[in-house]
Parts: sequence; structure tokens; C-alpha cells
Amino acid sequence: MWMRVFKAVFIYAALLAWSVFALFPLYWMVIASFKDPLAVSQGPTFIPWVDFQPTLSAWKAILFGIERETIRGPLVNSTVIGLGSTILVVLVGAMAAYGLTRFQIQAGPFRNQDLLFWIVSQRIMPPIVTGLALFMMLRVLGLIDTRTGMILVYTAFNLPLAVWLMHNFFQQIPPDIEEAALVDGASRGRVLWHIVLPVSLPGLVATFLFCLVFAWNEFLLALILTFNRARTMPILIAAQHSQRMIEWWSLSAMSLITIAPVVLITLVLQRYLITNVLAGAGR
Amino acid sequence: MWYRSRGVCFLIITLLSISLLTAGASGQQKRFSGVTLTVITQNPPYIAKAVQMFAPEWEKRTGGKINLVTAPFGELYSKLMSSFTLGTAAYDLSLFASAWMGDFAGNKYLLDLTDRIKADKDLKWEDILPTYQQTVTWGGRLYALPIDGDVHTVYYRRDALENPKYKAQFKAKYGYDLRPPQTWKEYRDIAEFFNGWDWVGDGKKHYGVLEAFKRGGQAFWFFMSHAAAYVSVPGQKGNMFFDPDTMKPQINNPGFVKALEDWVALVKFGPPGMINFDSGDVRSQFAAGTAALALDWGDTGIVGDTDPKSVVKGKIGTIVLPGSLEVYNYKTGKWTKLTKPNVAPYLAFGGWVCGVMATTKHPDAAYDFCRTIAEPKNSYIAVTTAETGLNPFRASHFADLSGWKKFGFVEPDLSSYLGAIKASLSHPNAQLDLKLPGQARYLDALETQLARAAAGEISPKAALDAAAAEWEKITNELGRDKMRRLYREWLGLPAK
Amino acid sequence: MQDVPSLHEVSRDLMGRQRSRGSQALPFLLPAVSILLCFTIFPFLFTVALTFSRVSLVGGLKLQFGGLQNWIRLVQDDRFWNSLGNTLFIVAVAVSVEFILGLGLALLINRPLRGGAFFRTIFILPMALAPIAIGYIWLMIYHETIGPLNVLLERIGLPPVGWVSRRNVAIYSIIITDIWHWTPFMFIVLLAGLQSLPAEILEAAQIDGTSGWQLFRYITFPMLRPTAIAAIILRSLEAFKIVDEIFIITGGGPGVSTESLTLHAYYIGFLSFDLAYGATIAMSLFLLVLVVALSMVRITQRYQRVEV
Repeated sequence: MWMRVFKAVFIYAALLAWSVFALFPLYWMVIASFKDPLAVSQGPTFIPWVDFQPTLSAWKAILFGIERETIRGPLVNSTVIGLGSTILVVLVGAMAAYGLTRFQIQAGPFRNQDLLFWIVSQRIMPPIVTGLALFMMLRVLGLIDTRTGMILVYTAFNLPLAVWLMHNFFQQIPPDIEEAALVDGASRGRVLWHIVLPVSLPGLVATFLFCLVFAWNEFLLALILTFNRARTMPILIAAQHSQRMIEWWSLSAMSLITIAPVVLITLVLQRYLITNVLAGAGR
Repeated sequence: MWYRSRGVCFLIITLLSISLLTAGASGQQKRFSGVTLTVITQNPPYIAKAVQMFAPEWEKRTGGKINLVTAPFGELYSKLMSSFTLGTAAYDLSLFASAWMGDFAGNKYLLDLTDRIKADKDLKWEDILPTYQQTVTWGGRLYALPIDGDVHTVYYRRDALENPKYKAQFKAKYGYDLRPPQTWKEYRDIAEFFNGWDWVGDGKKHYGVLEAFKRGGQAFWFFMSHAAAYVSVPGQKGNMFFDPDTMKPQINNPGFVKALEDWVALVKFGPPGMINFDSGDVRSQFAAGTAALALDWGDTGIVGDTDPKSVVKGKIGTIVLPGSLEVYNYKTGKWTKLTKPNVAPYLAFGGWVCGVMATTKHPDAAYDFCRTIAEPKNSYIAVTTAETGLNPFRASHFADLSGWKKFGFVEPDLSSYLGAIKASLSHPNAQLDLKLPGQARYLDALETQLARAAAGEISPKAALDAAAAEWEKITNELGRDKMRRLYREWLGLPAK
Repeated sequence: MQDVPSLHEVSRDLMGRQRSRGSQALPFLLPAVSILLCFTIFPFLFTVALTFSRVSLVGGLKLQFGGLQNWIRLVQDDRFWNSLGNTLFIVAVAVSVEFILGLGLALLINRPLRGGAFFRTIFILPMALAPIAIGYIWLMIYHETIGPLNVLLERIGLPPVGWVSRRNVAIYSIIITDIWHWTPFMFIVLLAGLQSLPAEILEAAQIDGTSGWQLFRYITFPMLRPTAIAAIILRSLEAFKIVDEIFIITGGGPGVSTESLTLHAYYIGFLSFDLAYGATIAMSLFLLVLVVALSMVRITQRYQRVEV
């Protein structure tokens, strides 16, 4: 009996300890966004109203004030590039995954699994390797520092992930439901669009959100490939290093704006994470 | 007949002048309407502030629009260089470091502004100090407008160094009088003496010295400021960077090694974390009263005396960089002992300048915006405004004290401040900052090794040897003969 | 999240596949393949070419054949060996700690537990955040005078630590940040693995009276091993690319003591603007990742055979 109580206490203590470790940094950023310069520079303070007086000035500046102009362009860019590339990658990825699951491919020595492995293995490519060349390539194409260019780059960046996830989902869909339609003379494209995609909607959503998070957070390629017109939020935040002491309050507020959608997505996604996506990962 | 033709002439002239006048008038109103200029410079506040200050007025006057893009100092060069290699105009103009002139003008990335500047009487080009005229000159042509003057000076706390009690204690400890440091040895001793105790009397720990050690945070120039006195034999050229005969790097000769040993030893006389400081930290920390000494550009004096949060207002002395009682002559390979310190003020960085991209579609508008910042009246406002990061570069900036006082400067800080800057600029042994193509590569190679030495990863000698080897590689890659020609040209030596 | 498929996953039956001719698949595959060819394979080959080139920036960008000079320089460059060493060290330490912690947390939470879903949500949260923001969060925490960490240390009577200013400490600060960021990944993958283990075997063993440790050592862990290996492979392959957090927290310093391969390549390529040598460093990272991936795949295959 004592053993069990002890065990329960231990488990909860451990879980709580890790929760504190996981949450404290986020908490720190949240309260930093409510501090004024003095509260920051006079050493750390931990609890609002107790050891410092929270202020909304950083948030006001960002949402209504002078920083609004600064943040608007990158926020729009991040949204357009994120959504654009994700929609594209889910479509292209779904097509490829469908092709790989429903046809027997024989291109020379290569079969389905070779092709799938080839596509998915592109993911191990470090971005810095292609980044240097993409810089020169987009320059020639006139796509450097454009949203279109970034959408294409991120589509390629996320494609391996999208194909892999969609492949898993499509494999779980029994082919019989398609057969009736095929017998009726529907084309493969129509079958994919009208039957397979609606059936695999949960998987589609999960893939969409995964890819969106990656595109939204990506930094290195954006750093290399954007200058002015297509700068994204991570680039804006990274550029806040200034020669005056870093303005933690406004930096924190900006970062929180960048983080917020992703946190929401995580809360939505976490069920899929376990049940749909990762359950088969290791087997 | 003639009167008729005269009448026609008159008519034509009248019409012409009317049309010119109206064109002029409407041009004055909307000379650049519909033009958007993309300006890139470093993060606010410093330097970017100048753009923010003058943009609204310029927009109103010309009908144009300013789109400001900023990058941290450490990435500004990279952003500019990669945009230049694009071949299209990602930016129209830039406020950048004159040290990069070798790359930007040398590769014709910048628009040649010579004719525009020559034709621009209101700019008062001759009022700009010759040193700074020099920084924007490349191959006899002008490629930018100076908007900033830059020289390193040393700042000290008068309340600390002039305190009789501390003077007595200092003398007892070191055996000579405490005074504003004349040599780097004295500088070190003062830093050590004031480090780690409460010499202000506010119950807090205070420190000896503030300098920038951070890689990508201007560490290169801080180190060079120390080295200049050890290696600059008065009247001899080519002491600082390369041997002008062979283009062999000088940076690992005994003079530089001594300077790096000095510099690395200072890390422990500063506040914790000083190894990650850039010049911005030096300014804010000095104004917060952290340390007794600081080495920096003109901004530390400005922030210290004019920032409302500063606790050191009216307590700042400014002096020319300390000297050295021995100087290393690279030609003879020997140290020379001296009785009077060898002083060599270092015109570190050479100032920010405003240049127009060769690829811009709006060269006239871009030049007009640059000159708006550089012209006498506005530039005086800029150098006497907080957080522009711009320091005096015209003779008139030193002549008129009213703006400085309005700015918040108090005596005797102001006289000491302007005096030290002026004395540095006019010093016969003043050393110019390196201006060569590939400057950023040389700088990064050295700064990487400086950072390693400061972190204690390797010895100063090993660090400088490694840097020199790296410099050799860069020189070989860029072409030794070409670099030698450019370097000699820059020094004003005959071609070889 | 990473996504190299475990091989057996790929070679699973072609149940859903009709005996259609492969050419019909072409329109479905063409967009994906062409995007990858354009934006991954072509840039990759270009980078390979770049490593054997000499780049001149004077008067526009020009490439010349440069032979092996970049690779020779790489081998002789102690800064390269340093960044390689840093990268390997970070990967080795961070991934092992993340694995152990992730496994521990997964085991703790893999039981009927009040508030389990709540804890699970909290645990996975850091994983999704932008690395740049994470870098700043930890930079604030590590700050030596106004950060909370040193003040807390001081309050319990310990000396302050130069989290980001001391040479041998800074790399651990980077590792701690990485652990905070990526332990959730290990946790979630291992938890998924645990939950998919056949319950009957575990129950049978429990009925047999096997002790907790023995159960784990002889039954749970062997069954979990494929998942564990997959998780370690996936995480390692990503960890080799570490750059964002270092970029913000230390910028590679003090000195070059926290410079990773990606950061080094970026500095050389875009700060010194030595594109060819930067590409060479980047390519060495690719080779490293490739070797690690291949050898790990081989290890997995060996375990497979043992397993089946």
C-alpha cells in the first residue's frame, strides 16, 4: 500500500517537475512581454503584480502603434508563404502518394518502394546544402525575395514529409470503395479528388498542419533567400538583435505572435500525433 | 526683321522660363512622386534612426516613399553582398560601413556620384573633413556621401580617476600617479584598480573597463585600436595591416601579439559576460555607471551625457587613445624604447556612408535622400541627436556648440569630448582603417581568431598566426599583385 | 518531426495496388518528382559542382573550375574540424539525453493516470515552436545579469555561471536548449510505440509476477527497440542540421566553441562571401548525414533480422 502511494507521489512529482521545466521558459517569455525596460534591466522579476508592475506598452506598440508597420509585412508573408506552400505540398504530395499506393511502378530497376524511399530520403538533405545553390538559382529565375520563390522552396522542403504521411494514410484505405467508381468509368483523378481525399480527410488535415508548422518556423532558407519583400516572421525576430540592449519586451511580444498559431495547432494536432501518425512509425 | 526675331526670341524665352518655373515648382512639390526607395541599413536605433528621422520630411517634400529594411550589423555586409550579386535592385540605397568601400566601389556595385556631388553646391563638400572625403573615394572617384565620423577614443569617469582617496590608494599600489591613461599599461592598471568593488558608493559592484569583444560585434576595431600604438612608427607607412612590399600580413608581428595579450587580459577587468559585448553594450553599460573606463566611438560620450537614464552625466572625460612606450618597427624587426608615449589614434571603421546601388531605377531620388542626411544643416541635427549613432564629420560640426548643448552635453564633458575627437582626427600619426576588396573576409578571419584568444581557446600568438595564415590565403585567392597595387594606392605609395 | 520511413514500412504489401500499368501513375507522380528535381536535386548537384569551383564576384558572379582546392583547404582547416567536433558532440549528448528523458516520461505517462492528457499536451508543446523564438527565450534565461537562472543560483548560494560567455559551458547551454526543444519528440514517438505494444504479452508477464524492472528489461524494451531505433535515427539526422538556436544564443561563440557545421558553412558562404568553400563545408555535412543515415539503416536492418 505504502509502496503504491509512494510510487504515485513519485510519478506525479516527476511529471510535475518536467512540466515546470517545459513551461517555465514559455512563462518567462510571456511575462517578459508585459515588462517595461526598467523592470527588465533591474534584474529578473518573476511574478506580475508581486515583484513587477505589468504593462501593456509592448503589446500596444505592436498591435496598434509604431511596430505595427514593421510586423505587418513579415506576418502577411509568413501567412501567404506558409498557407500557399502547404496547400501546394498537400496536393502534390497526395497525388504522389496516391500514385505510389495504387499503381505498380516499374521504371527500369526502380519500383514503388524505391521511388518512395527516394522521395522521402530527400528529407535528410541539410537545408544549407541546397540553400547556397537555391540562392543562385532563384536569382536566375527572378524568384529571389519573392513569395512565389519561397512557396516553391518550402513545397520541395516539405514534400518528403507530405508524401510519407499521405502514403501511410492511403494504404489504410481499402481499395474496394474506389473500384465501383472506376468500373463506372471515372478517371483516376476524379477518384482521388471525389473519393479518396474526402475519406482521408483527417490524415489530410494532419499532414497540412505538420507541413504548415515547418514552413511557418523555417529560418535558414528564408535568411538566405529573402531580402525585403518576402521576409518572414522568423527573419524579423532574428533581426531584433540590436546594438542597444535587446528589447526583450517587444521581442517577446513578437515571438509570442509567431508562436501562438503553432501552439493552437499543436493542441489540435496532438491527438492525431499519437493515434494516426506515429503509431505505426516504428513498426 | 531683327526686332521680330527678337520678339520671337523674347516670346520663346518667356515661355521657356515660365514652363521651367512651373516645372520647377511642380518638381519641387512632386519631384519623386510614385518613387519608392528601399533603404537597407543596420537595426535601429543606431544609424537606422537617421533614416527614420529624415524620411517623413523627405517624403513630404519630394512625394517619394522610403521603405526601410534593417539587418543586424553582423549580417548587413552579407545582405548587401548577396543583393549585389543578384544583379537586380533588391535595395536602392544603403547606409553602410565605409570599410566595405573596397568591395562595393571596387566591383562597381555602387553608382559613381562624383558629378552629382561636384554639382551640388549646397552640400558644402569642402566642409567635410578631408579624412572622411578620403573614405568615400575609390580610384579617384566618389562613390558615397559621408554621413558619420568615426574614431575610437577612451572615456573615463572623472569622479573615479580624480578622487583624491583613490589617487592615493592607486599611487600606493602601483607607484605612480593616477591620471587619465597615457599608455596602455596605465589603462590596464586603472582597469584592474577599479575592478570588482564599489568605488561609486551606491552599494553595487563596479568594474574596471568596457570594450567590445564579440565576434561580429566590432571586436576587430577594438583590437586594432590597441595595436596601433605598438606598431605605428611615425612617418612610416604600411605598419598596420600588410607589408606594402610583399603583402605579407603584419598582424602576427610582435607588436600585434603584445597588443592582443593586453587586450585579452582586459576581459577579467570588465563586467561578467563582457566577452559577448558589442559596442552597443559598451555604451549602455557605461551610461549605467558600470565601469571606470571605456573604449568606443563617439557614441559612448553622447549616451553618457545626453541619455536621460544615464547616471554618469557630467562625469565623463574623453581622451585620445593611449600610447605605448615601445614601438615595433616591422622594417627592422626591432622594438624601440621611447621616453614619450607613441600615440596612434585609430580611425576605426571610417564612418558610415550613404551609397546608391548601381542597379537602382531611381538614382536621382536615391542620391537626393543621401544628400538629405549628409547636408550641413541636417547632418548637424543628426550628430547632435540621441541614438543616431552618427558622429561629427564636418568642420562646422565642431565649430557650433549650441546644438551640442541643446542636445544635453554639459561642460567640461563637451570640450573634452569634441577636443579628443578633433585631436585624434588631426593627429599626425593617426591610422586609417583598412579599405580593400575582401575587407570583410580579412576582418572575419581575424575576428574569429580574436574571439578564440579572448575565450582562452588558444594563445594570442597562435591566434594571430592562424589569422595571418588565413589572410595569406585570402590574398592569394584575390590575387596578390592586384591587392598590392590597391593597398599601395590606398597608402599613397608609388606603384611597384 | 522527421520522416525517413522504416524500411519494412515501405516494403509492406501492395494490397491496395491494382495491376495497373505504371505509366498511368506518371501524371500523379510527375509534379512531385519535378519539384524535387528542380528544388532539391538540381541545387544539390550545383552545390557539388560549386565545391570544385573557384567563384569570382568581380563584375557579376563567375565560376571557374578550381579542382580539389576547396576540399584540400577543408581537410587542413582546424575551424572545420572544430565545427565538426561540436556538431558531433551536440548530437551525441543531446540525442542520448533526449532519448533517456523521453523514454522515462513515456513510461511514466503510459498508464491510466489522472491528468495524463494534460501532461501529454504540455510535454509536446516545445517541439512545435519556432527555433528562433526558442533561441531568444533561452538567451533571456541564460543572460548573466538580468536572467533568472543566475539569480536563482545565487539565492541558493551557488556562484553565477557564464552560461553563454564561457567556452566550455556555452555548448552545454546549447545542448540544454536542444533537450528542451526536442525531448518532446522522443517522448511522443516512444509513447506511440509503447501504446502499440500488444497488451496481452505485457499482461501475461505481469500475471507471471515479473518485477517492474524485469518487465521493462526483458519484455517491454526489446519490443520497443525498433521504435526506439527509429526515433534515434530520425532525431539524429535532424540534430546534425542544428543552427537556428545557436545563431541566436551564442552566434557560434565564445570563440568558435559552439559553431556547428551549418553555422560555419553559413558564415563562410554568406558572411565572408566565399561561396565555393561554404558549399564545401555544407557538402561535408551532407556526407556526414549520409554516412550516419546509411549506417543506421544497416543497424536497423540487423535488428530487424533478429526481431523477425
